[in-house]
Amino acid sequence: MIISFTNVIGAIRSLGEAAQVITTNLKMWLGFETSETLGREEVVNGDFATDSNWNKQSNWTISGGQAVSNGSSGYIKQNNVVTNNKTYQIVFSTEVTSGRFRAVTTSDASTYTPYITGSGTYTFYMSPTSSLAGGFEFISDAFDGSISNVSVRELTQITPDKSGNNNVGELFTGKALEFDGVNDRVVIDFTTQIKSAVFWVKPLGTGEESILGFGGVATVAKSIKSDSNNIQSAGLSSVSVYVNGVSTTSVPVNQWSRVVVNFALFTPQTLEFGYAYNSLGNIQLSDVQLYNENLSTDDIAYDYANPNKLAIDNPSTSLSVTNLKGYWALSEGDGFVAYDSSGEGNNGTINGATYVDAQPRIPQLGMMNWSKGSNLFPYSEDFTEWVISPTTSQVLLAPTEEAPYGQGDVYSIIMQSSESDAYIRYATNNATLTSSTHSVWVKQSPTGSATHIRITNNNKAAWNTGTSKKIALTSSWQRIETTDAITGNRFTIIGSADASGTQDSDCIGKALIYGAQLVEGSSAGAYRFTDGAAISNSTFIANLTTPTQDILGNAVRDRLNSFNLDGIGYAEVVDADSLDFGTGDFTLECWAKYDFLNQGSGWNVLVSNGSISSSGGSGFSIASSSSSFSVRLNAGTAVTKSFGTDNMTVGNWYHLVVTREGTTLKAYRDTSLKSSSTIISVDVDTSLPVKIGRDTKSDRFYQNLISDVRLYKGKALSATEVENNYNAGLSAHRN
Amino acid sequence: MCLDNTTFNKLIPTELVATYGIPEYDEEGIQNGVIHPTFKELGEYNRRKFGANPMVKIGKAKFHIIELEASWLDGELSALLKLGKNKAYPKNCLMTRSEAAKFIRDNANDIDNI
Repeated sequence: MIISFTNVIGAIRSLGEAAQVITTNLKMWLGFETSETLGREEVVNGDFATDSNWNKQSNWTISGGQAVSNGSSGYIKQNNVVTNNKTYQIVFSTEVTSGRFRAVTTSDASTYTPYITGSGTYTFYMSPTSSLAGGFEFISDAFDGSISNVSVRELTQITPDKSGNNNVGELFTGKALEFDGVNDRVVIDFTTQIKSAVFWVKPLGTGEESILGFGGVATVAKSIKSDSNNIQSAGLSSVSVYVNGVSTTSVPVNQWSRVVVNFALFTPQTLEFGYAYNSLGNIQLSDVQLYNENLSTDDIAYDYANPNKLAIDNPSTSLSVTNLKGYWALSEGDGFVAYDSSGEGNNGTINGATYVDAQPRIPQLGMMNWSKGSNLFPYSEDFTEWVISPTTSQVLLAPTEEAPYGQGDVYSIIMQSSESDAYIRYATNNATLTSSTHSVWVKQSPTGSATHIRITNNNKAAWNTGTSKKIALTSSWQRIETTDAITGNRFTIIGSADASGTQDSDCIGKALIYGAQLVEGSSAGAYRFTDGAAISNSTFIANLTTPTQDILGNAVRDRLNSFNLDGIGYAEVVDADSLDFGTGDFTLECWAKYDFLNQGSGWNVLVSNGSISSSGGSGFSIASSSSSFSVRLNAGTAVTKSFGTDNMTVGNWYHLVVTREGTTLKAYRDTSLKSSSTIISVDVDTSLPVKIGRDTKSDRFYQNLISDVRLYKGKALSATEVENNYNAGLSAHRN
Repeated sequence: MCLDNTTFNKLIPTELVATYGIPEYDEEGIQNGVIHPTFKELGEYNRRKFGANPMVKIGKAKFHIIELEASWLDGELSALLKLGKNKAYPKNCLMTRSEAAKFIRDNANDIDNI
């Protein structure tokens, strides 16, 4: 009987997972399982399947999947293909009988390809900057021959459209550091042998912009720079440069480029980002990696095609993680420490450089697992800034002692017995705290007599009402923490006294301390070096060797093949007729993990093609609020419907579907019809892009997972079809 | 801002103390006042936030670049502008980011304190 019961459950689950998504009238389906480094196809009818879409002069004809030129001069072109300050890959095939031709993205001569005089398939990269940019054309110079299979695609990072249409989602979840070229840099104590440097860079000036400095002065200084739109090096030998996977030194200004520089083995005297000897850099920089081997051309191609992975992940590489000597993702988002994710521990100190968010093209946090750093209070690594109980305690720098992470200063605390207690303390003035954990690293002093030490979490408003914990000191670093649920301000106290002020005699004497931490929650999590500043909620990518942890040992938020949003990033789909619903039927659908972050608005937007303001616009939005999900349509007057407030749990998956059939608007949550009402006829048609994770307002970003965003035009899914799609996605979205 | 060596070692104008005074705390950890810093002390205090204070030598003269965020409100910018009154460029000049970058590059043969 038990076996039979199990089989029935299995059969039901199997039936559910076997369901296929309804594809009739499906115009966009962003699954967010993968990303690609080429954007959507910008040329229409590039295979010349029909004699349409191309504006051609008399020498050109289209037939048989080719554009044929008769030997006279003239152009064949399309308008509105490219945008300024973006880089495009242009591919086409040709059969040349005589004469020549070239492609151009603008009337700007700098974006002409060379003249083509021979048959073959060609690939070029163009970065239009002219005010005349927008079109794409082939210009015949007495060209007698044909062109076929034309493709123009932006170099960016997108998630593909699984509907079979061209409505791909461009990703804007990258983070980088910006250096102002005046006084900003990152300083790293780095003296390990290296043979290659890999990084994403966006030069913000066309002059000499320092990217990496390796130490040395005057003529023996070693560095990598951009200068006049080219990568250059100084002091390095056997140098080869690759940009975006191909052998070239060209890096356009104001655009992201992936750069690999191979060189002969050497040992840097130091390492600096944004500065080299007497030269600063006005650049944006992200994802810097240093290897002690050259990258092969296959590694370089893999690295470029897989921006969210490392060359060591290349199945055919000879590199291993031990060859990676430095890896600074520069994705933290705040703070003054650039963490080294390679495991080598060479963290950098940020001076003045600032983070920029929502960057395209570079590694996309939205397509990665990551966690957020713990909250810390100021002076977490500088105990001299703490209040020292008069006459009963001393805090001194212990310069000969090594910190647990090999970075930062260790202090000795000397607890005297002349008073009832001896301590140091810091007031953590945060009235919004509802539960907190206080922690500190402790160790026996080789010259001290204390055998134990306490940490106390004391209520500042009602002294002696906190929690306390005592630990026996050993010759190794240990972490001690205490948690309570006191609301409001409190003290963190380290020393010999418990919460009631009673002193322990075994705490008298000297002990070593390092890295105090306050976390809003029930456990301290991994320690985060802050260089004294108070910072919180920074984003850390996963540990290279332990995929379930970030670089500091925190458990990562698993992406679950979804779009992992941190409240800043988003994705965007270019407006298209197929996404403008007009007054007809339509369906909006997505899966989302419920969350809400108050950024000044009562809405966090999951999917939108406009603004959800109470007036104006003619778009749609699905958003979360403090208690539920809602859908809003705009047409002068906003129509807002709730997906229901029952059983909402932060972090749980919900399947959301909105249908409009005629003037009936329905909202389903997990197959349950939560709202059905008659609305006025709304023309849902905007020229704005569809955005995932935000709308047009800056205080409505979503922060949690979104997946399987689907739009149907001309079709309202029935209740049965809603249930079908729910079942089709259930196995991937289980709570 | 590009400051001559004398001004760099002087106290910042009082109009900026409300924004750039260095906090002092009492025994309870509560801020009870601010220290009125010199530009040099302020630059060092804000090194992480704004970056270094490059020192450029032109002949024997030393000039220090210090980055600040100042407002017209409460006379902050006016007070900074006053520092350059009757002084020749580049002494105590307000500079845009690109002007500061160019000034440093043009005198890049001898940069210190980066």
